[in-house]
Amino acid sequence: MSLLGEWKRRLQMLLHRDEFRRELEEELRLHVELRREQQVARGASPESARRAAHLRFGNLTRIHERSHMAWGWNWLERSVRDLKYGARTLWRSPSFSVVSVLVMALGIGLTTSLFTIVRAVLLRPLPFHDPGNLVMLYEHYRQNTGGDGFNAVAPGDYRDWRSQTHSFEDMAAMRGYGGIMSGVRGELPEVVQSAGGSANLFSLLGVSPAFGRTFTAAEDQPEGQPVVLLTWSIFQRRFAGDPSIIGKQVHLDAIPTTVIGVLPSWFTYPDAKIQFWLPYGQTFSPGDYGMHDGHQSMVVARLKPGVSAESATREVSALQYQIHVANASKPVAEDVWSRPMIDDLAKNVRTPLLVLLGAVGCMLLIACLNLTNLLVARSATRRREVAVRGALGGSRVALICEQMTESSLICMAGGGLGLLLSLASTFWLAAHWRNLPRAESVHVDGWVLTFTSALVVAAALLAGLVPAISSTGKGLLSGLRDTSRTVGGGSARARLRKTMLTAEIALTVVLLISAGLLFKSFLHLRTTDLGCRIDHVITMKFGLPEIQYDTRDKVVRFHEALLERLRRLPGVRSAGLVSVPPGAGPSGDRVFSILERPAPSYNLQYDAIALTADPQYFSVCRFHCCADAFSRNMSASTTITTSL
Amino acid sequence: MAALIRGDGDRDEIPPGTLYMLILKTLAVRGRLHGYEIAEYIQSSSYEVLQVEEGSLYPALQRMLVKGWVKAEWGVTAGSRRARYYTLTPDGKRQLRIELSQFERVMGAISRVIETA
Repeated sequence: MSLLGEWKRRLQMLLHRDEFRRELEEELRLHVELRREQQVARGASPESARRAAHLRFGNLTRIHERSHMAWGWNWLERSVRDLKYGARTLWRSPSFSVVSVLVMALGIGLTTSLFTIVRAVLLRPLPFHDPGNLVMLYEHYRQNTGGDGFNAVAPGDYRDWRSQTHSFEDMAAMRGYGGIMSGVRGELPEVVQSAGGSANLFSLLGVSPAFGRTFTAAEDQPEGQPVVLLTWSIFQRRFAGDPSIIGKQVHLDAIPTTVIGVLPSWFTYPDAKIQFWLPYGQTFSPGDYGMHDGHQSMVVARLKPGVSAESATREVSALQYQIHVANASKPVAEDVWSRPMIDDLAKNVRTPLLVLLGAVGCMLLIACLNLTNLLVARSATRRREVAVRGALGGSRVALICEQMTESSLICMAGGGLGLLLSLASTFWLAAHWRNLPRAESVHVDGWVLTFTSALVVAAALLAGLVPAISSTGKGLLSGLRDTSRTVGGGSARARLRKTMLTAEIALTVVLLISAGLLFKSFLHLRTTDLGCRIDHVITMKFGLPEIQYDTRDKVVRFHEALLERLRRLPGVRSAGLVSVPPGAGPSGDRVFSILERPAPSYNLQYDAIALTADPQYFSVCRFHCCADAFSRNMSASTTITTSL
Repeated sequence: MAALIRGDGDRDEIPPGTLYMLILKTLAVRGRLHGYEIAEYIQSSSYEVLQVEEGSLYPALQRMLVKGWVKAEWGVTAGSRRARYYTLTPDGKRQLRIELSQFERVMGAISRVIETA
């Protein structure tokens, strides 16, 4: 309490500094005056009385200073003075100041942007309930040769894991799916991405629906009542955010389906493009729901409190080995691997992000070195000034502080500008980096601001300390003896500058080389020959609901009618159909066998990417050397048979 | 001429650490005083033995203002001049008690050492 009062008094004194000074002066004047009068009363002459009073009083300025110091604001006044001085010197050389502020703004801004993204994607916990205990489970083949060893899970495996293990509070499955949504009379059909989720998925993640309810266990069966959960995006886009849609029906792949709920807007896991969720069980036929050899699902599990991920994984892995033994003839994995959910989500961007952060850190270092060099060069021209100040009694610490203020000012201005730069660039990056998971959670917050402040302090220290120490060193007073106004000083300082220049060039070369390599890869990617003409070609995608197009005849009739009408459109020269267009990546691989040469083992089977196309397709895309281009697209171990 | 004020040999500097106590005590006895009066009172009531240096008095008064032991207000002297008058606060009274008991303890200890020697 008394401490609080003390600070209040101190603050008041700070706010009324001028008044304080005047009053103290008056008080001291009165004291001297009274003393003089006392001397006169004792019989001294006016002149000697005045002298004696002043003599006894001593150094008036010193008393003033010490009374002032009692309030404990010296440090503040000294730094304000340093700041003023620093600002004045920077103002005197505007080009130097502008250049160095810009350099620092670039360095700090870029580093802040990257940190913002890294924090949002890699560091910030998932928006789910108790995310630290969430793990993803994958199947792992011991003889796995390609990929990262994490393989999708078969529905039969998941169901066995869930019913027969004890290390997890619960386990849920999901899978990517597709679908055509239309109104009850088939109006406004659209092909959208969807997902299947088990009934317990949402409660496991701690997600409660914005409207309605989630799936029941009875619905989560292959032949359960058809129901659908909408994501916020389609709820807003297609249904105008009207909650009265709940309980009504839509057509999914021409099946009347009841809308039972809407997921909250923040729930964009695992992909923001997903438009609706189906019960996991309903995405399988009754025969497939128990299969162990069809792999397409992701499994998320919540560890029981006190159970480590390792021991839980060991338990489920042991169970998987039993399943493997029981299904020896089929491709069933031997082991289960797990990883924390947040790592799972960021797996594809982790390395590029960290590499980028490293590169940007290098840039900041270069910026600091640049500033250091500039400051060293400048301090060379100010040697005499510093020498004079030193000779007049400026302590080395005071001189260093003064020079540090200059670099601090530059870094603070650069930091402020950099933060603005970073706000803009972060916004841009998050909006344009399409595959960045959790892009929606990228924004600047208190932690980012703290990071930037720390960067500013570090940069100011890094850039300012070397020139400040070197220019106030032992040879300080030799600056006074210098008769010529040569710039550059002694050999020690030249060596210092050479060292920094070397470091700077080394860093720059590293960055240039990596940037060059990246650019080369980019160019390669842009100019890769797909084996066909891609100019003046557009692609469109559609799907047919199986329930309406249940025979091959119906499908063929639709395709023929579609192509017929397309080709008659003005401006269209030709049109063709293909299951996957060139350059769209691998998709739809099929295992096949050759009678004369059986596969060596169950998990080393012949596997080929199979595409279907209509006869016109090849003339539309004008493949220059059809067979060659296709076989180059296949992986080396596969052979290709494409029947037309 | 300076001899009128100092240097006659029987005036001593105030022992370090006791200045606050002396000022507090002075204000406790005399109530409302300005700086010059405080210095004069300490000197006269110590039979001219103790001499308060102005160089220490004013910084000490400022520190006591910070601590809240005394408070200052402007008033008019007998010679109708503006002066800053200091008075004791409740905190100051408490501080005086603390300083006095400390001083007595130390003095008692010192005198015991001296007597046994």
